[in-house]
Amino acid sequence: MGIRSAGKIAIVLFCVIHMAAVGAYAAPDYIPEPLKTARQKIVDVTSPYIFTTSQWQKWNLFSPDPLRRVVTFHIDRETKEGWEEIDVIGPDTVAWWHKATELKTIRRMEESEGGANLNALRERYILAYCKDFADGTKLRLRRLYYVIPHFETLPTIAQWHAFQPEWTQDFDVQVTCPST
Amino acid sequence: MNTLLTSIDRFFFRKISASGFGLMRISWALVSLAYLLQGLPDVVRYYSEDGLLPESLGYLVFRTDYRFTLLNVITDPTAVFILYLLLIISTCYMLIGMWPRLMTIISVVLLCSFHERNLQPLGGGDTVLRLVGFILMIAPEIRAFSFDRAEEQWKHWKVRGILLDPLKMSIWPYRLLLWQILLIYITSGIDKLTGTMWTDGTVVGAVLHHPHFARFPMWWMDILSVLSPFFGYSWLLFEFTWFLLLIPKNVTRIVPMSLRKHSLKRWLILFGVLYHGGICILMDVGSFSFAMFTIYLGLLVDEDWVVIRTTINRKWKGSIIVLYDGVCHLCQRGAFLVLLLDNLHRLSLIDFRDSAAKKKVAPELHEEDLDRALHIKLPSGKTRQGFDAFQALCWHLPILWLKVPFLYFPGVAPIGRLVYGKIAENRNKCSDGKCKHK
Repeated sequence: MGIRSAGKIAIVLFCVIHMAAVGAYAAPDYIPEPLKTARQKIVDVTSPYIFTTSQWQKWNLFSPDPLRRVVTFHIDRETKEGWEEIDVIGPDTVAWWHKATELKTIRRMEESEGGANLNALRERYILAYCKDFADGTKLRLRRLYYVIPHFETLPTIAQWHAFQPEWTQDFDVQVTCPST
Repeated sequence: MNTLLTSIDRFFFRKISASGFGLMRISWALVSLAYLLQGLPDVVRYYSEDGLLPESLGYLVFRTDYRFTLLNVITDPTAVFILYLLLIISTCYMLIGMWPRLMTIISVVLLCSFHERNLQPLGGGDTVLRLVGFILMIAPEIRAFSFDRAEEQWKHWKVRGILLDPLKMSIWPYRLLLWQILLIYITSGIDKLTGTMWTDGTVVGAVLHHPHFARFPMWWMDILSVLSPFFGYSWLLFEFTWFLLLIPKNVTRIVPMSLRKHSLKRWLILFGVLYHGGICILMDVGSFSFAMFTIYLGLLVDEDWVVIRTTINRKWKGSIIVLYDGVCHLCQRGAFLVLLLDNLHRLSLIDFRDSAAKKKVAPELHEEDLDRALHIKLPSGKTRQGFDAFQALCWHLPILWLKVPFLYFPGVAPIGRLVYGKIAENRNKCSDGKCKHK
């Protein structure tokens, strides 16, 4: 067998393995048997390749249902008079050039696959504000959110016009600015 | 057995135009560059040890196994920032096509390194760029529309007077790319069917009202939301129609010729451009729409380029004669460049120093006039010269179409003629010994 033929066989094998690997990884978890078992076997074998080459992928953008929760982060500072708001991270306050990335970051700080506690991430987020304040200053994260309604039938323009968000507030993590 | 082996060989190794992958390289670089520059102020915050995600909290965001990133060893904020600048520089080289293979590998490896360092700011577009970048890294031919290729073309044209044959490559990277886009749309479509809002037609209305994504005021989204079922169901249909591309051509022969002559892939790409373009206009979803356009470019093969050229040229007849000075180095460069950009194949270059050739196409033009400025002769018989010739040519060179409106701004033409006149005047004052007349 010449080098050329060996090369072609190697390329064909690589293509088949790559397509099987990315296909299995991207396939949803809830496919029926025996596909589910076959998928899991392929993923177990090929996941080192998928992860090392950064080919991991899940295409659940706006699916099964789109995100309906709208959240804004409010950073408060404790003063003698009480809590004072120092920043708002929301769609109307974040600069356009990093709106998508910053809002995605705060949404991801709330989500947790496998139920891991992400408080440490949110604490780290608000600790960044300490550079503007004295040691010992207390900062807290206050979240405001509402949920876009899911109308059972197609809403009219008037129904959308009439929709007013029902904001809910919760007090989240609190930090004390450390001495540098 | 031989038939099977021949089919496999043809399936993976038949030759196709490498132009699609060349354009995909450029598009990948452009999209990456735009979002890299946008992300410059946040580099230290997102990707360094001093930022939002130190390594000690990494276990909350990313996996630890089989995770390759240079930012595991480069953690200092200044070093991370310098690495980001290197990524921007390598992407620029990738865009113009200098050392395209090396720069593509560097750009993709660095981009993946940054992505693997912090997953939180990433969206679907970033995932697409990683996947496409990997295919570009391993594709055998990505030099189409590159500076390196242009240099090879120039050397060949100077000696032979014709361009090199278009670049070709084996089809297997195209197969990987097509498989990838099928996965994106089909798995996404399947996932959508497991919810309720896509099936009851209310999904688009809800998404348009999410202020994290909406670009326009809510009252405008209220009006658009009436079309939610149409947009939602047509999007599902679009996603699942890609599944039909898996059907082998010898099976589709049963479909009537009247339907078969139209390429399903091209229609899907066209609708994809409309859908993703619409999403991009109405919503801020990061780089996703542009990343998908990048994939579409890679899916264009020989017959697609023929159809695109034929469609654009459907009302075009004849050719534009471009008369240039074949002994002037500057003029040769200019003529070569024009030929290189002639993707619609509408031009015919003639060296006016070749009397026989010139007499055939433009006997009425005198050499003294041709020596003063570039002349073109349109199919209608009209001639243009100098800056006016350049202005007319821009309409026929696709890469210069964006420039066309600016050439007609008030004041541009007089300045253009002045500048052209100065250049033409000085072109014969050559010190390289290449401007001798016969």
